[in-house]
Amino acid sequence: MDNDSVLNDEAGSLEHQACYIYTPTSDALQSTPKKRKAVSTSRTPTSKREKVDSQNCDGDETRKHGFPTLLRDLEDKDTVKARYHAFDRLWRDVERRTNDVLAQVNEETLEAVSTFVGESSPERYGEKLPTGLILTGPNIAAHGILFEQINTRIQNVDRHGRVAILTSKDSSNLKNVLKKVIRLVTEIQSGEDEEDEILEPQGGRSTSRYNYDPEIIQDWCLNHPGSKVVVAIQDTEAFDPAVLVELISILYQYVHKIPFILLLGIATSEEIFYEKLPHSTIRLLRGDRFDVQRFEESMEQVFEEAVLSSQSLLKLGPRVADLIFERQKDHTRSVGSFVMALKYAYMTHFYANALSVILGFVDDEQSLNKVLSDAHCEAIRNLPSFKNLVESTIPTFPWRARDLLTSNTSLKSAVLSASKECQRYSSNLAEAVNLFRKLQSVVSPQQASEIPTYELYSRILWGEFTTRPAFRDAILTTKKAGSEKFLLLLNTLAELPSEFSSSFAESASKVEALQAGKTKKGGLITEFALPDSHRTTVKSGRVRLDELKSGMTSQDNDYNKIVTSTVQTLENYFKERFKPYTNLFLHEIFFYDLKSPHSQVFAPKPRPSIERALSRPGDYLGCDCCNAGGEDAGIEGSQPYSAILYQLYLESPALIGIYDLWSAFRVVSLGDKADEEADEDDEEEKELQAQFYRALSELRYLGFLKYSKKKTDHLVKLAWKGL
Amino acid sequence: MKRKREDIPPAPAPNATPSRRSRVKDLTSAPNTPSRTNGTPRKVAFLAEPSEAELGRSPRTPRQKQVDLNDDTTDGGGADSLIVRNANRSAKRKSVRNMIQRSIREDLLDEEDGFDDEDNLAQRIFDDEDAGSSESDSDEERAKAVSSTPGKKAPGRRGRKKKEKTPPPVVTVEGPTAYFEQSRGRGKPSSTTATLPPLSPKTYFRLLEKHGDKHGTDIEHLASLHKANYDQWAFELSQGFNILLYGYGSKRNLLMEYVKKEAAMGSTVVVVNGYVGGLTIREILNMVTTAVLGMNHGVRFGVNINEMIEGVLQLLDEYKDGGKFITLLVHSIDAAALRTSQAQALLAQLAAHPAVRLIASSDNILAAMLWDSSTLTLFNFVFHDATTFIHYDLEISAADESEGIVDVITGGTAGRSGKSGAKGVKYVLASLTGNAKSLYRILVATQLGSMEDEGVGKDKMGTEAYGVAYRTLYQKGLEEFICSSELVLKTLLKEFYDHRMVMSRKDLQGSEVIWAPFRKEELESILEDIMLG
Repeated sequence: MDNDSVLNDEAGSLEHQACYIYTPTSDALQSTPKKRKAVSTSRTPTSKREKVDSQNCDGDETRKHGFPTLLRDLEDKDTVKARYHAFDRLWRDVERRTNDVLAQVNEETLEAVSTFVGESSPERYGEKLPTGLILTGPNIAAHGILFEQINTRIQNVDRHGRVAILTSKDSSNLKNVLKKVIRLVTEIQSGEDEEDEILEPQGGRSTSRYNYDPEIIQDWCLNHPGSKVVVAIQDTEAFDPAVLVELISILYQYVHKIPFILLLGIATSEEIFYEKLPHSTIRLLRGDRFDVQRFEESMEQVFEEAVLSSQSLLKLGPRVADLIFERQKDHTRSVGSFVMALKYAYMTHFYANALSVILGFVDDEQSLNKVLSDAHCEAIRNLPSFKNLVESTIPTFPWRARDLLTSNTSLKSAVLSASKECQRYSSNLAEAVNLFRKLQSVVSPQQASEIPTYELYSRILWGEFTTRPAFRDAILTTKKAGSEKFLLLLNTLAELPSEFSSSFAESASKVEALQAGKTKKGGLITEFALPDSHRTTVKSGRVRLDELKSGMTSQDNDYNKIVTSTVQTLENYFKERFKPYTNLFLHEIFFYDLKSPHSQVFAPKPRPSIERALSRPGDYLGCDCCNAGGEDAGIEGSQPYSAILYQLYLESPALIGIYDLWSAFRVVSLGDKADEEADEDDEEEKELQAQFYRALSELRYLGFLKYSKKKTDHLVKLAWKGL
Repeated sequence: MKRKREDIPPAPAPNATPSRRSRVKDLTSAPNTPSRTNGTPRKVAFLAEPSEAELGRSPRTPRQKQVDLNDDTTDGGGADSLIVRNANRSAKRKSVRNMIQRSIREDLLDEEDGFDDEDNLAQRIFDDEDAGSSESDSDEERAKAVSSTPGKKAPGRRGRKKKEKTPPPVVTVEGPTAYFEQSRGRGKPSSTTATLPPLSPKTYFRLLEKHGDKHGTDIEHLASLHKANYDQWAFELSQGFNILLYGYGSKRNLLMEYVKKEAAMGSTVVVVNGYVGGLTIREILNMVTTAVLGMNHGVRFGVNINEMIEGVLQLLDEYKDGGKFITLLVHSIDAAALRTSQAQALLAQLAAHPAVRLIASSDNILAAMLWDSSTLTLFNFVFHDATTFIHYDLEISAADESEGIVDVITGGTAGRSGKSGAKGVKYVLASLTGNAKSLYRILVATQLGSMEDEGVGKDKMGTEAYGVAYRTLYQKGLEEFICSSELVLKTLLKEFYDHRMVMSRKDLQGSEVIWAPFRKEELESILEDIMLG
């Protein structure tokens, strides 16, 4: 390794320095010698700019995206660039739409909080301290963003006054809390110029006041009449209760002089919050509570916008979707991390799939034809979906199948039509999903709110959704629906843009007419609807059904017909739309469905991988000597020393004698030679000893063991494999 | 099971003896074997042997165990060993299994009744075998034992023998079973007093340097695989993700080389060596500031670290607006110095800034526990397995420094007292009054003086021989106005005793001698610290 020596040299003493700015050696910079200056003294933006400009623009471009040349280097530069631009464009689009949704997510809460702040006044709350309890939900990762939004909203958009956001980290003592509040309230407004005035008291005591004296705020308020002072505590649960109580009492004492408003972020529930504070403190507060949108709802909105919407060309495949949503459900529960996972899907797809360039030119036939090289065509012919296409074409149009195989031109046209087909499938899917959700929300709102769309998604893509209980339940309930509910359903569905909207509207008017003609109270019923009954034996059910049938009026019968036909239409419609995506030609390009990078990159297993490396080093090293034994090879003398030691460590009890470990280690490492009597000064023996120490140190560094404090010369085992 | 046991075939030919270890493997791999729940066959063998025989054959010493282990490696080398292994899934194995089951039964019920017929048979088969294979070993043993000089080895043997009598350790090496087995506590590992002969740091490093890696080419190949991902990393970083590498082996070189490429393309790189002991988050922030503003920027942030990060983030905002970014490379982000939640929270805030691209490595198996969901969201990591198999030389030497490297070099023997360590002394001293410091200075200086006179080596421990007489110390204290009375001196010393910074003993004349129980090297650094501080 030549590079290594260079590296070591240049690192030199730096490797023991805690942190430093990396300065490349002249050696490394020979290709671009000018840059050295720019790196070492980054204060020279002008010179740096020049350097960037002077660079070959093309080189700059590749450097920027760093996309590799695929298809065994047959891909030309422009295509690589096109791939990058396609990624950039498509992701930017998704990102923009997602951000719009995300901005909307908290809009309601923000609006309510801001109004609360604006309206609060001494007249309204009397002596009490106006307080807003913001129920933020358990996802602490989102709280920071929410409070930032509140801050901007109150401070910059609605201009109600100043906001001081406090976190539990500030709650060490009351003085610090007050200092921070004062700093946040006064400093920002006054800007750099007046900083001295504020800094001065910070140094010690100013002429008359301590720097934690709330009267500073009072002065500030005199200069800014009408401004409110909002103190927002982001994580109330973690905030030191004693400090919180003191803070509240101080704010309360000043509330007639300073228009204080308290906002408390609560991740758990109001009850828990009340339990935490003494009643005397709670009595000082008066105000309102604000709910933040549930995670599932915002997640669903983002999902619909970013994945389901027909504007998103690239979709998640079922496998990767399952992976992402499972992780969301069990671990992260954060919309932000979903967006990141989605972004990573886009990144991987465009980075590693040469054919993804097609996505960039779906609407532009000419450019698409131009951009697809022979190598691309060859790659398309290697897709599994191409094989399916050809095989399905052979029986009907054999000549066309041959064309596809031999002529690039006909293949390209097939690609174009396939991409149209994929888009149509997607938009149909989106429409059908939307329709189904609406239907579900009308007929069984309970279920609709329980199971979010994104959990149905993968089933739908597999094409097996119509056999799932969720689907059958919905259809069955529709059949049973009374006329009022059904009417509501028809009207809702008619509003959606679909091929049936007119027929739905028609049925709706028919049902309405029937209902009007009906004399009996309670709406029309269908034969499927059994009135609620606790008598559930088959016989009694049948008897009642018969009764019911005979009791049905002619309107009921007509209504029944409408319901049956509508449900039939719907069922057929869904069955048609919810077909497996794998039937599509080029689905590999329009659906990203690789599980592996996602699971490894977002849900890594660092510990098992270290354990594996040490217990079966052959897996990583790929050498013949360590792989000999196969699955359970056990310890081999040829393995790296740390691996040998680790495996001996695994066999050891919780308390390990170093000498025992050493003797075992020695035997394994030396093999045959271990029988020879050890010579104290033997160089080889000493060397092995050094290796032993190093391996031991490494295991300790990795966190597997530590020295025992109770027993000399012993190690304590800290980790058990697979535990 | 029953039926199987009955048709045990006769013992195989002696020359086809499989190693005991290979049998262990067979057992572990076979489903439903009792070995999962109990001790190694190796141990069982000892247990099953008549104890008189064991005691009588005195040279059955540590070496015996070594031979056992050794079998595996010698066997494993040969290509035909596998065939032999498989071929011998026979009487031998079954008899071992029987005995294990027996021993389990004994364990559980603590029954002392005799062997039944089957077990007897198994026992005989095993013993026959064992006698054949182990006798030659023990003969050799004996010869060697005679020829070798009785020295440091002797206590070791004694210890080993004791160990052999202890109940069987375990064969399961994975999962919860292993945990319960191994923590049961009855298997006292060893009461050996034998220690390893110490290595001086110099020899240690010389020897390691001399010795090339076992798998040099394989390791290089592995590194080249990781290097092929550089472009991908750059892309991920540029898209707002931060990278965290995990896996066994030092990732230092890998990252340095990546950074070299980055720097060659004109980006500013701040390198943080997390493993360096004294690192503080403040230093990192300062360095980032320097990277943004250039040297001698003269910008000062507040004393409060939270104010500081706000200032830095604002600076970065401006920096970002100029279209620039900083690559922040953190080696061992989970190292001791960065292990506080505050440090991680601040790093996360830094990493979340769009103008900062963080690429870091983590080594500890529990590294993931550093972060809660909100820090993790801020970090926005993508994880990559970067197992390199390169030794953690720098990292461990830095980690060991804090505990005294000799600690490790001698396998933790030399410094039981040194464990509280020179580092600890510095902390204690920092919290003491000036007088106490001066007193300690006098003590250390005097002790060093006498050590110097004797011309002892750097890593020699301070002992009674180099100590200072109590009266002398008092006199010196009086001279330097450190203590006005004996009472004051005693109060000062009390603190030192409490922290085990001094030891004392009455010598033959009955006068008290006081000394600091540290190595000369450490004493020097302590003295230096006191003088500078």
